This record gives sequence, structure tokens and C-alpha cells, in this order.
Amino acid sequence: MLDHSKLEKSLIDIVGTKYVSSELCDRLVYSKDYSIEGIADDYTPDIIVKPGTVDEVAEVVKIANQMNVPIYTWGGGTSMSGNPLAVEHGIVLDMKRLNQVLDVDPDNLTITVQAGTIIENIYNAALDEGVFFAHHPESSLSSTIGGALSCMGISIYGAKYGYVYDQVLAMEVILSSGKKIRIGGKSYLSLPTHNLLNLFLGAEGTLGIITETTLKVYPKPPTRDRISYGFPDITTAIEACKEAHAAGCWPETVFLFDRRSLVQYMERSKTPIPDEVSMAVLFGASGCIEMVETTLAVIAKCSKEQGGSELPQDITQSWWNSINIGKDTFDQSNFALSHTEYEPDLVDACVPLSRFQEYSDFCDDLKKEFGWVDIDFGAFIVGGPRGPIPFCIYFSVPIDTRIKAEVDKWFQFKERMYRRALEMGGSLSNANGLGLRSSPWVQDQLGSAWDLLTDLKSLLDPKNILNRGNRGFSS
Amino acid sequence: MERLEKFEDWARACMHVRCGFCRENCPAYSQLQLDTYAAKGKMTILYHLLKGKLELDEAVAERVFACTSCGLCDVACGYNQSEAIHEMKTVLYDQGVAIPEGYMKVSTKTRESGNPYSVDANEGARFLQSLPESELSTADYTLFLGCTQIYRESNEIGSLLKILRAAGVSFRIPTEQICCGSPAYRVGDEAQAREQARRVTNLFERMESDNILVSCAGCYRMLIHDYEILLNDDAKFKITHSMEFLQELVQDDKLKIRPLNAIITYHDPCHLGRHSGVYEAPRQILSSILGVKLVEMEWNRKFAKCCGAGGGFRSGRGEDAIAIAANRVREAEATGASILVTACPFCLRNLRDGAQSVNSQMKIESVESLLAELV
Repeated sequence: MLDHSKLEKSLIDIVGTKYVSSELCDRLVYSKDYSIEGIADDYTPDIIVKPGTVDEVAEVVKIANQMNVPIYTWGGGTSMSGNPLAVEHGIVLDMKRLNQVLDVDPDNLTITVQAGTIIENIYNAALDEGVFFAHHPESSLSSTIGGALSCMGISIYGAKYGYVYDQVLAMEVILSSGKKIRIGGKSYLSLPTHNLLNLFLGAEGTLGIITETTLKVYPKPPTRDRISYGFPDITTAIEACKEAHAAGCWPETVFLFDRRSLVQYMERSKTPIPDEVSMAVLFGASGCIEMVETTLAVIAKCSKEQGGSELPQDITQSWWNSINIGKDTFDQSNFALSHTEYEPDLVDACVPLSRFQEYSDFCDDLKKEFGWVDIDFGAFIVGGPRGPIPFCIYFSVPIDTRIKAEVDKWFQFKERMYRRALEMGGSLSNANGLGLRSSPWVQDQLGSAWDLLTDLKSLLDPKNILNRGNRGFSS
Repeated sequence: MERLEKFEDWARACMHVRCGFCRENCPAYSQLQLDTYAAKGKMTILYHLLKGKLELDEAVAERVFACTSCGLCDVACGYNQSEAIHEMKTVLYDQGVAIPEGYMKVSTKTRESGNPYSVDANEGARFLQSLPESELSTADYTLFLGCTQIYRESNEIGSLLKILRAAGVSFRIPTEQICCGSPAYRVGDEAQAREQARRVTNLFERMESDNILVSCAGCYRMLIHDYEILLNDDAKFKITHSMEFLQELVQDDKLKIRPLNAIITYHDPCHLGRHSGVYEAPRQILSSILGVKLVEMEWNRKFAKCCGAGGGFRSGRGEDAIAIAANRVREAEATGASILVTACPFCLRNLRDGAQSVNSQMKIESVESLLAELV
């Protein structure tokens, strides 16, 4: 039986009264992320703690280990998969006081930051020194780099610069024992043996708690511009992307939205979408003016050859504004608006590229089977580390979570979608974290490799205190 | 609790999305550090109050009242979360929940003495009656002066009067000192705020004044927006803020202003900027001064950060309010400016205290005091 008062006193001794709370009104704030999972069950932690130093984090972890209390690491709380939720209650460890940009090194193209640093602050600290930090999700104003590294976050610049894990050179991690380790270094390829970074990247805090990281930054591109094209379907849109790749284009942004998704994103700007557009692609290019103009001109040619038509400039701009949320544009976000009637949740899967259309059609048919005929959200596809060729497809379904039957239906729907992806030779995607949302099928996909993973978990976290009960691991 | 139900949609949207764009720029969160103190946290509380999972109690009141009402969360969100938070304060107050003492004092003092500083109202009246314009029976404008100006920043009044007199403006001043009700309103005491609104409205009616000139940003927001809500009535008077009025005087060459060689930056008061849309007039006044180089802080206009004084926060959490002001002063220092100018007596006081707390050499002035020195 957990001795709550002893735990609270121990945590206060480490970080001080101001940074510990067991008040219900505080605990509830840390009980829900951007996933339906968070509303479908009670994930209220027993206590919140917000340490200010790495040593304090280590001490908190030691206490959790000693008292066998699960510990859930919390960054911005923007996760879309339920990965920071306190499945077994216990401690929520708020990392946002570890928010220092420790070093910007333009000569060596690196930036070193603490894990609780807000991504937008990293981006701006890099820009202040004339370099460009490429991980820029829509949530960068409020999400932390530790959260992004733990959830494999995607970036609006990902088509050129890759995933967040592509940016990592080194990390400092607190293990479940409280021991601090460092992996990697400031130079590229500072990994003389197995890439131990990958134990902790995208692991959602189940094997260790990331406290610091050294990331790549890049020479700042002098200009950037973008165009968007509408296509009759997913297949033609992807063909255009492939042709652009073959032509040598290396755009930084490749976002594909189907019509329904695009309409949602235009809600704040009230920009109408042309009737004939079924699938739209936003291409962004950066570099010198000649390179940007040439890239966009070639992309335009490739798009037209696939029956694409250029979308009006105001749609392109509104679209860009709605995903490029920064310090000067945070009044442009669509996050909260349009969410009063429903909660959109994701099916986050990869299927082989040639079967995106088939998978999308399956999703539409399944929606009809479930009686969701007038549902607004549709498919999102993102260009990732392999240039303009898309790599991952998401489906968002808006659910009225006030109706329990609708929530139950959502879980059934989600299961059908994930199972179909696996049948098609696809995969659960870790692109927005696996968390509670996608983990029920992870053992099926991993097969015998699941045993290796659980052995590693037992080795690194013998008392199972780190994110207990999440990501498919046992309670 | 029924009063909160109209915000159920917003609270649910916030619970769904959890984007937290309101958090990092929230002055209360910057000091108090738990996510609960940002608007996202307060909307979570609202959601669970409506669900019955939380009750209106002291802990809830402590979180909800820790809000400067600056409204930067509204800009980030798209929903006016500060409006919902204000309503939560009102409900907490009306339900008799023990709200933190510092905020409660604002209400108690207003109820007892007619102003939030507990100064004998006769003292205010005597001050007003000492001004020659209080003896006039007619004028083009009636200048309404706020409690903070009268009881804490009377030098500012002198500056404003000097400018108006120099420009030959026809104005008069009430002989009674009545609080506009803003301080009480911001700490949830709607009944007293309504009473103050009635008194002020009656005063203007008795004076047969249609054109009201206001130079306190808090009074201005109250008169131009909140009275209609409190009195459930259409606006009866034309309310003009001194920034817009002075800008016209400058534009029409009604003032002879000496040059000033200085780099100046301007702090947008939340009441005047985000809540009332007055951004350009003070900047135009400052830019019109020969030799002045006006530079912007990193966060300006609708994105301007709060000084930390609003919403009763300075009364409720004085040290935190001053720490927030100190951050704003540091931001001003980063522009290279030597003078930080604002247009709100509350901001002025708090920014000065903030500058002092960090030994900043930044000179903090109001637009009026700066201009008065040059007229």
C-alpha cells in the first residue's frame, strides 16, 4: 500500500513545496493528453512533481524505485497517443523546469538543451546564432524536446531534415535506478558501438528518462517558399511526389491532406477549397532563391503531369500558417477551434506506399459501416526522411466523446484499422508515439521480438516503475 | 454553477486538444509553475467542476484567482478563455468560497471605502475639487480620473492636465471621486462592480456629460466594454481614451513638443491593447516626437506580455506580480531603449517596482508624463 504522505514528504524534500502537489485540481490537469484514451479511463496521478535539475530528477526516480511507485514523465502534455498518462497513477514527473538551452555551437552545427525545453525556444535560440533547428511540429510552442524525442515527433520540415530522431547526436538519460548515463557526443557518429540512443528514442520514457540532448542544427536557408496542388486522388498525388523525387527535388515540407482534413485546417481562415480537389499536397522548399524557384517549378511540372492543379495562393498561405505555428503566428492555430463537438483521434499506421489509396478507401468504407457518413476529418500523409516521397498515413475520426457508445465504437473501429494495416504488410506507426492508442497490437506485430523487448525492459527497469502499464508493457 | 455552463463547449474543446499554447506566455504560469495556473489548467478545472468531479473550494479558488486577466491565452486559443476564468472568479466569489486574502481585500476595501485603496473618499473629492476644471459647469469633455491615478499616481494627473491645458482643450472634472469598479470586478465582486457602474453612470448623467475622456486603461475597459454587460444597457456616453485623444491633438498640431533624443519602447497595457484594440495611438504620439527612436519589444501589440499587475494579481500575489514586471523590464532592456513607456497607471507602478527589484536603470514613464515634460 502506497504511503502517500511519506511519498509527498520525500518529494518535497527533494524539490521544495512549490513544485509538488497532491491537490486533485492539479492532478486532473495532468490526467489527459490529446487522445481519446485519456478521456475513456481514469489516469489521474497521485502526485505531481516538477524538479528543477537533473540531480533532482535522479533523486525523484530513486524515491520512486525505493517505494515502488510508477513514474510518468510529462513534457508539454500534447501527446496524441496517451503516452504520458498515469496508467497506474503514481507520480507525474513534469520536466518543464529543465528548460535551459545550454550551448549553441554554430561552428559545429550543434545545440545542446535540457529535455524540458520548449521546441520553439530551441528553434529561436538557434536562429539567434544564425543556424536552423529543423524539428518543428505544429505543437512546437508548447511541446518539449524530451517529449518529441520520446514520441518520434514529426516536423513540418521533415521531408528534407528528417524525424526528430535524425537530429540527435547525444543524450543524457536517467535510468530507473537513478543512475545518469550519457550516450553520443558533439561530433557525428559518436556511437562507437551499438546505437544505444535508439533504446531511448521513441521509447516514451519506458526505459529511461531523457534529461539532456545535443541536437544537429543546420546552416540557415536564406529563403523559403511553397506551393500547393490539388489532385484527384491519393495515387496521383503520390506519383507526383515520386516524379519530383526522381527529378532531384528536395523539398523540406511535404504534407498531404485529403479534402476533409484541409477544410478543417482552413476553419480559422475561412478559406474555401475548390470543389474538384480530393487530395492536396503542400510542398515547401528552402535554399537560395534560384534553388527554391527551380524546385517549386519542377514540382509544379510533375504535379501537372499527374493531373494536379495549383491551389490558390491564399490556401497555400493559410495552410502553411496553420501548421507553422510559431511565436509570431500562434493566433493562427486551429487546435482548439472546431473541437467543441468532437474529439479527433488518430489511427497512425504505415502501409506500403502502393497501398495508401487502398487503405484510405478501406477507411472510408469502414466509416460507412460504423455509420459515420458525414464525418469531416480524413487522411493526412506526411513526407518524411526520404524526401518528397510520403511515408506515413494517418486517419483522424472525430468522435463525440459525450456519447459513450461512440467512444466504444471508436475503439472497435481503431482495432479494425490497425488489424487491416498489419494484414496489408503495414505497421503500427511510432510517428506520434505508440502510447495507449496503438500498443494493443504491438505484440502481434513484433512476434518473437516482443520477448527481447520485455527482457530489455526488465533489465533496465526491474521494478517496472517507468511508464508502468503503457506501451504494451505489463502493469 | 449555471453561469459556467455556457463555457462547457470551450472547456471540452480544451480538454480534447490540450495544445497548451496558452501556457508558456501565461504570466501566472511563469511564476507559479504548475500547468494548473495556465488557462489550460483553469479550463480543466472548469470542465471537472461541470462534471462534478471538482468542487468550488479553496484550492480551486487559489488557482483560478491566480490570473492577471491579460488575455494572451485568448489570442493563442481562439476562445476567450480569460472570459471563462473571469466568470469562474465571479462564481467563486458569489458562492462564498474562501478566496485568497489579497484578492478579497480589493473587494472589501471597495465596498467599505468606495475605492480599492481604502482611502477616505473625501480625500479624493478634495483633490478633485482643488483642480480648477472641477468648477466648470460645462465643457466639451468630462475627464474621468481613476483611483490609482488619484491615490497613487497623482503626478500623472498633473502631466495630463498640463497637456490638455496647453492644447486648449475644453474639459471639466467631476467633484466626486467614484471608483469605476474595475478592481472589484476583476476579483469576482460583480455586485459591487455593478454598484460602482451605477454610481459613475449617475454622475455622468447628473453632470449631463456625453463626451467622457479617460486616461486609466482599467477604467477605459470598464466604461467602454463592461458597463454594458453589468448594467445590461447600451452605451450612453462616448468614451475616449487619452491616447487616442492626444494622438489627435498631436496630429492636428495642437501641441508644441520639444525634441527628445532617446530610444523608447512601449509596453501595451492589456486593458488598452488586447482588450480594447488601442495599439497605434500611443506609438504615433511617441513617434511624432522629434529625435525619438521608437523600438519594439519582442512581444508587442496583441502578443504583448502582461506587466503582472492585472486581475487583482498585484494585490493577491505582490512578489509574483513584481517578478513578472521585472521580466518585462528585462525584455525592454534588450531593445536598447533607455525609456520604457506605457499608458496605464497600474502597469506604470508595477513596471517601476519590477525595475527596482532587479536594479534596472530603465526609466519607466507614462506617455502623458513624457509628453508633459516636452510641452
